[in-house]
Amino acid sequence: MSWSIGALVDAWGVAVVFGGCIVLLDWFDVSLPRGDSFGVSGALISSGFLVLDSQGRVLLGLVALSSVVVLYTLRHRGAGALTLEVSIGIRALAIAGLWASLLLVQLSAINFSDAIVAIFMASAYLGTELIATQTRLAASTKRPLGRLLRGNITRQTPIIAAQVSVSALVVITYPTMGAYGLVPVVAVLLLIRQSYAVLLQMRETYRTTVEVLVEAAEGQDDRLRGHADRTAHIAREICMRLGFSPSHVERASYAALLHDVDAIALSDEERDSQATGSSSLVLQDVEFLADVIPIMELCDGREVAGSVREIDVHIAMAVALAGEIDALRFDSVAQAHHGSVLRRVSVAASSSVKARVVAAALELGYRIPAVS
Amino acid sequence: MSGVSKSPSLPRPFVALGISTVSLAVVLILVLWSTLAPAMWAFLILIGLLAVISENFAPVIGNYAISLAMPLAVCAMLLQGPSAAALVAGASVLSAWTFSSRRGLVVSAYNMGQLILVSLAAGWFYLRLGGRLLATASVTSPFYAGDFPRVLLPLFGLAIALAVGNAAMTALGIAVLHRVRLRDTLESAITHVPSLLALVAVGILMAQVTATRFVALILFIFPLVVARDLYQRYRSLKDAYTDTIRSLVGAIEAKDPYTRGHSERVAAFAVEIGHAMSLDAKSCEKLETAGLLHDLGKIALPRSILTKPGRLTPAELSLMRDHPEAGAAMVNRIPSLSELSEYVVQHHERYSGSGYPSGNVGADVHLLSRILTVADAYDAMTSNRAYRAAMTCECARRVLLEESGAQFDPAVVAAFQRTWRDEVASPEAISVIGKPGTQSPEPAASGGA
Repeated sequence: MSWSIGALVDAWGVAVVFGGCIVLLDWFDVSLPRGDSFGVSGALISSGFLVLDSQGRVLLGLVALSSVVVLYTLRHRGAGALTLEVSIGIRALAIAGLWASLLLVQLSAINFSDAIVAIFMASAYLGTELIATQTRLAASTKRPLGRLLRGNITRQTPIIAAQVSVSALVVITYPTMGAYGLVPVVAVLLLIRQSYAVLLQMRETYRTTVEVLVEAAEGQDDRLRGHADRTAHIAREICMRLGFSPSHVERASYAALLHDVDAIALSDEERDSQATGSSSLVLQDVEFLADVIPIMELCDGREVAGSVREIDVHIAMAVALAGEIDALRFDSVAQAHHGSVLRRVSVAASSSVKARVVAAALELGYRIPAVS
Repeated sequence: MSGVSKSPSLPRPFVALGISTVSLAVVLILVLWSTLAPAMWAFLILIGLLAVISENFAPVIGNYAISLAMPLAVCAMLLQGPSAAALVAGASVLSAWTFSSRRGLVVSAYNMGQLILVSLAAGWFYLRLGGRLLATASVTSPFYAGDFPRVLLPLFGLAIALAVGNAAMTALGIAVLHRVRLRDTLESAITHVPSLLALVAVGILMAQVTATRFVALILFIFPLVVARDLYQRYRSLKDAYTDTIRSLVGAIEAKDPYTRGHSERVAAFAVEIGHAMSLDAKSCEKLETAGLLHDLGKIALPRSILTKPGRLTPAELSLMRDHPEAGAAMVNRIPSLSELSEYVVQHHERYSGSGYPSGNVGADVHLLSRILTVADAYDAMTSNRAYRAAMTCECARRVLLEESGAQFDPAVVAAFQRTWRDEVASPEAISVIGKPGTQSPEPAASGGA
């Protein structure tokens, strides 16, 4: 291994090309609502480590770390985003994971093909990054790390697999095309990133629209103002405390936001006289909410189409309890109505489900009503 | 990218366009066959098979289907030449008609013909610019670093020709099929060019990998499947968006028997007028959403004011006149809809300047707001209110004509008159027609003279 100036300049040439692509991909990372971000540069960092020599790897690592600094210096990060120190720490850990995996490969007696090694190293990088991010999230939100990891691994496996595949493709094409091969690779990665970004943007728009419309509808009734939003917050907290995956937490959130949509603008008497709710009927034609409808049907006291899943009963219980907790905290909210919602769900819930949900609410410090 | 909507009765110009496109494609393939025939049939069949599978899983974005067969056609083109690309593209689209019921025969034929023509043209362009094929009868030779930057120009030319040609031909087909302006469909198609360029880049990478290590093609499965899955989830969410607004606004309005269904009808009338004024698809979409949300500010008003049978007191009138601004403030909170707040706040302005809240005159009021004003007034007149019974449609139409130039924009009233028909422009009829489409090919939804 030579550390001469000439060798350093050669290494710089290739590392700068890789580095430039990494900065470009980092620049287009997508900020996520929970504070971290979705990026696709990991595929290039890990493949770069494999095709470059030792000097190149050191330089590439430095460029990858500098890219985070550049990003934080030039681009505005939204509220709740990771701090610069945390972001650098996570990337440094992921790069350390790369070095460790490379060492393992070199120590191994088996002569793996370069594509297999690329898959292994990219998995090591992206896996370390995922674990580090979730560990930080678990620490800041006091949620169990194991459950967070399980939920995220299920959700992110396809995207990680896509990046790992791209990493192997770089290693295959680099020996023939050289750095020119990075152009189509960056295009593929940006295609994945763009697909994810538009989905995320649409989800955000959808959620904001539902929140604004529900809040506007509540505005008709002083006693209800802000109730749906607060109930959604409490239901989310309970579900997170129970260790449910992000998709289940989101379903709970939507169900809580919309659980009173039928009762909005009714008088207390009208609301309390209803033995069965009809919120699920209002939204039954919205395909996106198909997963939420069974929870709302449980809250409405209606027969659920198909078999009732235990997770849905858990979530419905969390939503009903959250509504009742908010009703207790704000006397203005129609308590009798929410008591009836809770009773309806309690009929469907087993004692163990009730106990788990109530325990989670108590752990969060909420004062809760008696649940039969 | 290909036009997708299957229509029960296709317009004759589109049938003619489809037949001529396919005929030209077939003639060109036959004429060029001897010079462009592919060398490795086994390989071509495999790529074609992959393309067939990909095409049948193409995600649909609006009126366009982003075909994952495109990268495979590019791959075939770079390896074996334009005829190989044409065969792969043609086979994939044809299979979509054979295996899937979502496309009609003529639509599939047009898609196949245009993809074949674009593939042949782009391949010819690539070779003319000095590009080379990566596979001959028995030898495969990938691009090497030494080939660069010489091959960049042909590759760039291939990408541009494929992406732009495909977008333009698809826009043409949709314009003729749905009887909408070519400019509008072109504007929409151009937004897909970056995605198409990315898919061409995937195809270039596929060709390189195939020429280097054929089995590594398997590595493309995850990236393409993930991209497709994310697009489909986006699409289903976008579809649900308007449905959700409609459901929630409907639930809010349902509490008041006098306004039940009002916003949905206003949205439908406004879209009708927009079509009659030849507004582009985006403006019609905005009209639909703004129509659904235009009275959102009213839900902050006490029910006693909304349902008061007699004349409102000055204080009540003042509260009532706040509703456009209150509604606009709510709409403004939704980032992607903030543009609509301008139309919502102006929907009670009058052409003469005597409206509220700002008293803007004529063109100072946005065109979409002037359309909403007419649609809102017509539905209000033809619906029962607490303070009066509904007018007949004919009577309301006369009022619109009398107030044209004073309360209403004459151009908008004239457009409304063009769309007016007894069976369409009545509240009862519009609820039967149901969800208004912004680019619906259905004659019933587009109104008539």
